[in-house]
Amino acid sequence: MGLEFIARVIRTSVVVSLIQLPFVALYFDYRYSLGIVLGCLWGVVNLYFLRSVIVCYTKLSQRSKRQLLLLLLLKFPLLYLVGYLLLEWSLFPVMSLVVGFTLIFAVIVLKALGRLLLSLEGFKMEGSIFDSKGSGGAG
Amino acid sequence: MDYTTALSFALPLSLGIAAFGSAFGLGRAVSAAMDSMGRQPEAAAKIQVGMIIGCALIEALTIYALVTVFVLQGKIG
Repeated sequence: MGLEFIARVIRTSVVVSLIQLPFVALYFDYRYSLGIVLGCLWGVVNLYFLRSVIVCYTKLSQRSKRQLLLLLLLKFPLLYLVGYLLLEWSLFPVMSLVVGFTLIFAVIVLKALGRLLLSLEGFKMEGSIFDSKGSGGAG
Repeated sequence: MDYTTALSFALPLSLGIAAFGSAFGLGRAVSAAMDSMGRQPEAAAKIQVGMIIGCALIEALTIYALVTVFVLQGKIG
């Protein structure tokens, strides 16, 4: 489980939030579905900046110090200002933003659960794409 | 004391407690992860991913507290 796990989580979250867009808009409300997408995007950008800050900090050199400062400036004042404005303007229901923000954590938990289940012996089937010969790249 | 007064007292206090808990948790998590990375540099990638996910989850709890405060703020006055 390397840093590609985070990238995969980010991709999956964006795809899931885009998949729900037409369905929630059709059966519920378009503002609710857009709120979920925006909340998810906010969470994705937050996780991306968090990953970048930690990676940049652990490989600290003279050149990356400026990059780290820029990332910190982008993450803390700017991203949180966007979140504040999203809540303050009330264009989208607060609950939809919270649901969108939670989506990324649901994806993390489900992906980790999938990896755990696939690593158990009982779940490995003979000739399956998930067996030890062909890892299948799932998870 | 009516409920709006109680909310006015409780909201900043709860946000402060959430921020304190989050800062404490983040500090402990990052400190333990850095310690582990120093001891086992070959496992640094795995520890880093665990730390990033842990930090995101801890940070999310504070954001939930902040959103709850925003929602309840509308009920004051």
